[in-house]
Amino acid sequence: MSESTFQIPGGQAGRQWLRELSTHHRLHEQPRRRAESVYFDTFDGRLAAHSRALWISEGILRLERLDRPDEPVRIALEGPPTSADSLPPGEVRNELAALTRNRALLKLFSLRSEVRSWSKWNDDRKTVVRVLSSNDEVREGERRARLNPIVVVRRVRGYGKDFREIRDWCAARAVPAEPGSRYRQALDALELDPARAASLGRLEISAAMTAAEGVRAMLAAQYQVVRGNEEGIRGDADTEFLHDFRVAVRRARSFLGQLRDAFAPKPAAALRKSLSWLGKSTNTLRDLDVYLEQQPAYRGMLTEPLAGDLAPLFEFAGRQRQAAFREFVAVMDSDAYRDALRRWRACAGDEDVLGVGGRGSEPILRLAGPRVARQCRAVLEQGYGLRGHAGPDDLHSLRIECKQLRYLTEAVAELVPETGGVVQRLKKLQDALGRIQDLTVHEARTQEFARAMSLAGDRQVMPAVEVLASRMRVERELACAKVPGLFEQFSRSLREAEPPYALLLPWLLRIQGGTDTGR
Amino acid sequence: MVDKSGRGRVMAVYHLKGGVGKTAAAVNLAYISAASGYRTLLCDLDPQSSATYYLRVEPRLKHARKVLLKGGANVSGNIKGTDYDGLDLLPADWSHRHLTTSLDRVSKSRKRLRSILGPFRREYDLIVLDSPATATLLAENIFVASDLVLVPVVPSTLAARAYANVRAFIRRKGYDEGKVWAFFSMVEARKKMHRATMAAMKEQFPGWLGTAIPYAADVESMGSARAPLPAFLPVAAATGRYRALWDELAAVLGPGSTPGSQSA
Repeated sequence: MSESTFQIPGGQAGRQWLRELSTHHRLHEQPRRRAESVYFDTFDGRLAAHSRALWISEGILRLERLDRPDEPVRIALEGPPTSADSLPPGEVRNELAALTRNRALLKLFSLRSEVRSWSKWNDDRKTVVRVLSSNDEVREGERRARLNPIVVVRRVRGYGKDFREIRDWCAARAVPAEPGSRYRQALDALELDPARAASLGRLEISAAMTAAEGVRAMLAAQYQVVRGNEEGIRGDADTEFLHDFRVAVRRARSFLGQLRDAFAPKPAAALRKSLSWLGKSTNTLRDLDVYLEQQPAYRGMLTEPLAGDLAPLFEFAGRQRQAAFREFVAVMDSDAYRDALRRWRACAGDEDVLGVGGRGSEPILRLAGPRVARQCRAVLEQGYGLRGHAGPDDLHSLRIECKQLRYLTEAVAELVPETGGVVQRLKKLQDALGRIQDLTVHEARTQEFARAMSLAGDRQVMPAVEVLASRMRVERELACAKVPGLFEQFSRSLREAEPPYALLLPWLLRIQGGTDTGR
Repeated sequence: MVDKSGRGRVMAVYHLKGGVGKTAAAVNLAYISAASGYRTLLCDLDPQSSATYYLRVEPRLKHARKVLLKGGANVSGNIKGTDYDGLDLLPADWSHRHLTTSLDRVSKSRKRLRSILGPFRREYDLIVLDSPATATLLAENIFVASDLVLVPVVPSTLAARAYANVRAFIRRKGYDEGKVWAFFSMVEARKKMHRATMAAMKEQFPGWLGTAIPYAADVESMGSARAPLPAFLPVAAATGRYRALWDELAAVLGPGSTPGSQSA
């Protein structure tokens, strides 16, 4: 270990502690200085999830393990990091790329330090140990908090004995700091969750809620997600902001549709219409985001020199995407957008706005449970109906039913914890269906872009586009072939689940003609 | 300051002529590198051990030369931290005067220094070699081990001749001349002869850095202060020149650039 960190008391007691340390070891104080460290993570806290903290201070970017006392890997960098790809080659870039999958790096909080430092000298006035004390304040937006001061004893290479003396003195009089404790203290002090975007919209529904209360809570949570992602969308640092925004809109719309008996029909229909408009406004931009994210994979489907010939196609798509981005920002600046969000907030927050429908006063589970069962049945009917002859439209319909089921199961997951296995299988099925849909849409997009480029006089891309479209069709066939197996796994997970899926069992056994006795 | 595989760079400050400001440049540039946030190791290869003296290190080395040639953990144990965060020193002692003789006795003798430094390129972003004035097997080891060879040139007739010999030596031995970057050192701009020699040498040789280090009493005072110039005279004119020189070198050594890829 090249340094040891200790937590010391704040205020007068801390100053006294430092005086004793300095006097006892005959330390020489150096000029004081101030420093600022800025911490980063992805929108969904991928680094924190892998026990890593990433921060930049005085032009050095460090990636630290929070679960081990390893030296952070580091790299000199001018300006804040934006993504792993933007960093110079080296260990930091390689590790970050693997951990973040190149998602945007966003500021989490900053830490301002007042640093005092001391040196212990040998007889030749050469520094043999360094000691630092740091008084830190953490900031995030308007929020500020002070952390307890720390003392760092830093070894100077080749002078281990002097280091051990001071470290042992400190260890006998102060609490050693665990690896990553400063980072965790900062998060606690700011009440900050690195997975802030992912944690937005966390549903807090209790079984005691009525259906109307429960759905309003769901709507309120999704409203928070939408508002929480607006800034990120405008900043255009990461496409996941728009993705989360869209999912929140679709979830809200799905709840309103599936649990429609909880509300008065008219205001719910008006809100559904607003949500539909909001969702559609994002379609083009999201499609193009996904298209461009797939660029490396699509290039990889072709060999050189054809793969290289695709460059103008993706440049064209990039320009289309920028236009779609500007259009959506204009939507966000519009009165219609503000009205839609105002209506959403009012519906979520005020009982009188949405009213209470015929079954709105019943417990939430009494409505949601059977609804989950019915939606399971809808998915199974669609799925078993596809046997042998599934076209892209049929698979897309199955995908929509799966999404509806997923939103609902996730919403009631707190109340029905056994949904885990079902949701996991459902996700896998959805991933396969999503891949098929992407390939279908992207093939059409590719042809559309190539036609537009051709009309503009750029026909060179056509041969590469023909091959790419053909490869996309092959990939889609391969993906389609996986669906029956994944669907079977999903339907089996329903048989093995606890209620409310057990409600389906008699029907499930009948439709499969099976003899499974189940549970 | 690392290559594509994340390994640190090696820069040698070299000239076969003594008294041209090699050690002052090596110590000051290593200090500025560390202060810029790069983990820096200064290797004192000169038996005069002036860099070791400047940085207040009393090496108390046992068999320094033999240990250096063995490499690995043996060398690691001899590295000392300096007064400056991020700057470590591999000290030299009088036994280094026999380095060339010892190198002559080992196999793959021209690549020995490179293999000795290999493990430290993972630990440090920049390794600075303070070379003795020599044109022996040790010099060849330095050329092989370095990504950049920095040559301080005093603008005098004899120094110009010595620099011509350096370039001829490198060419004759078949080493990459693109690694070689020179700067004018101990320049007295008021001297007509210095100005004329600088102009003539720029015409004659490629690979000049734009910054010239002036002849200054401040640089000489490093010996009495026993510290790098920027550490005790941070705003002196000569300090500013070393910083400017560092900026040029960082651009050459930095990410995405290949030493020798810039035109003079």
